[in-house]
Amino acid sequence: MLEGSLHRQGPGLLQTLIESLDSLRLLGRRSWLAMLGIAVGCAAIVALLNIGQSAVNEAMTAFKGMGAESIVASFPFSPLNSRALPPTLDTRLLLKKLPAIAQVAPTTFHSGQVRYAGRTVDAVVLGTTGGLAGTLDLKLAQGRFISDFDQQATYIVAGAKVAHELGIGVPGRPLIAGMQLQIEGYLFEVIGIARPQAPNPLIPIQVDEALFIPIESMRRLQPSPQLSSVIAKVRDGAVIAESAQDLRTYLEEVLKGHDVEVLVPQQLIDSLTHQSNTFSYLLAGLGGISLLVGGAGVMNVMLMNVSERRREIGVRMALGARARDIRMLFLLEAACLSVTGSLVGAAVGLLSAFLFVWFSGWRFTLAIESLPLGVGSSLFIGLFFGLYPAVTASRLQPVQALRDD
Amino acid sequence: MEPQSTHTLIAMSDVCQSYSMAGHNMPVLRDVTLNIRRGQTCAILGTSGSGKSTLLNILGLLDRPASGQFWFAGRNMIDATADERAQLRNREIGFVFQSFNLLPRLTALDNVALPLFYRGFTRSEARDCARVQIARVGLGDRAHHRPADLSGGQRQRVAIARALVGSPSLILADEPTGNLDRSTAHDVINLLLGLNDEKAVTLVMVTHDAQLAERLERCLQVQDGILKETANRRAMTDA
Repeated sequence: MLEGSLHRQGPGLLQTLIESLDSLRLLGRRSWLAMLGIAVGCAAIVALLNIGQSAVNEAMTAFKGMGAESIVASFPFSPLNSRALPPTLDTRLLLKKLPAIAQVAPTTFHSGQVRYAGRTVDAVVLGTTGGLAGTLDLKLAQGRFISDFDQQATYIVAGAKVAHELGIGVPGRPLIAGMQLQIEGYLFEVIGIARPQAPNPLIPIQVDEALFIPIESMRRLQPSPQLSSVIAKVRDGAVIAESAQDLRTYLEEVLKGHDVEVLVPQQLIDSLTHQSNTFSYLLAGLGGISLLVGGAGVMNVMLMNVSERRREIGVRMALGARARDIRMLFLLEAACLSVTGSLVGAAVGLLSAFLFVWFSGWRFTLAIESLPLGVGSSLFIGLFFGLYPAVTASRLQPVQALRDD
Repeated sequence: MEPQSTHTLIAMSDVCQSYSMAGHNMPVLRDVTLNIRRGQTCAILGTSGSGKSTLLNILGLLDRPASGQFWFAGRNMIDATADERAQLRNREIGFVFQSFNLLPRLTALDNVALPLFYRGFTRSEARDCARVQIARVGLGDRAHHRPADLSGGQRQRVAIARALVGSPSLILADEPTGNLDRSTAHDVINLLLGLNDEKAVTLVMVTHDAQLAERLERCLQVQDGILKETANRRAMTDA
């Protein structure tokens, strides 16, 4: 048996791996500490990136609620152009031509007195289309909003404050079918009441103080209604400036000869970008530091390992281990620690990020890049800091390693 | 110098070794010439600092001489690479140290199997061979104990089993009884000499004990780096 194996050179990779695993198992607490170092580093990165992503999304949602995706187009009066603006706009054609726009609503404007059950209230009447509910995030307390099928129907939707002043939809007098408001001698049937909505400085419409009618019905109140503004909502807030320019070009083409002014919430967008950048820098910094700390811990453990096992290295060399056998043994030990540590760390990181987000009441968003980033970098750190001690160990002279001291 | 006949295991001539200490070159071995035939038993005596450990390290291929000629089992050791020396250590030499040098975390059996691991044996092959050797030194029932749970004499016997497991042609023992009491020391020496009788393994042993040295065929004295052979009774009767 001995003779038959004489031509074999050194231990195989699998055997060295088994030896490394055994060695780690027998090292006990020391291995656990090294693995803990890597796992903590990896968990920190994964958790930070995931929490950060969720936080960014949370902030984005808050900004979106403030109208960061809205564009308002208006038509300044120009004495040079005597042509009247059209009473409405083909929204379906616009949406087809400009795919970046998610929703759009033209508005016409009339202010006058509204009468109901003996009460008279001054109010703003807006002629618009069904798209306005989407562009303004308008929610209804009762009934429905006007739709594109209402055409010239004399339907009306009341803002919360106007409804309250008129005494409709209040306790004791709920909205029922057939309730009619009188404006300029015309009767409009109330089909819905909007929920109260905080005034938005970016949009020139106070929802609570307005009444909404189908844009085609405006002809009943005015002989020749003219478009006063177009409100649009974009799909992607990041390219809102470009979308606004597209909208402007389109409107200028459709409304030949009229100036078009577009307003985007630039300040909001700027601070959104700024905040998102700040978050990214913060997270990168924290992740880097935690990884560095973890890596230093790993190197510390590995170096201690080598100096404590110098005798063992000497004995192994005396028994016939070559420098590369020693190097492989230590490197595989480091690799096993790094792989296990980083996988455990990734799982722990994900779990803690999920719990953190859950307790904060945010919505959890998986930052998918955090997994390869966290696992990859801690693997790299583990191997990098494991390589140095491994090379140090293999460079020892057998006589040196065996010496007593 | 040519390698001698196949009966010669070690052929050394004019070997010098020195260490530099604080900028000074300290000679440790001066022009050592030594031939050892296969199957001989040989004692190396000397006070501490005489250079006998250095000589043993060179004989054990753990260290390379600064100058001179050194043939081991017909191979030139001056030109050998570190890997070649490691391989020869693994196949031709068994070490027995004064302080045993067993790996504390491994069982006695795995300690004995360790040299075979570096020869490419699988774990079960190596353990099978180790089991035979550990039984031969009389510790078959202690195979799964860790070194810490064994007495000094038992540990040294495990170390001897480890030295034997690879069927070496040379056993180098560095004061193998230095850490043992008298009667245990006696057992260990008997075991080593018995192996020499039985398997014709060459035995080179460093010792302080002149009485012990008398039991070996040859006796070499190292003094201030110079090697002198003192004739032994048995050596004379051999001649």
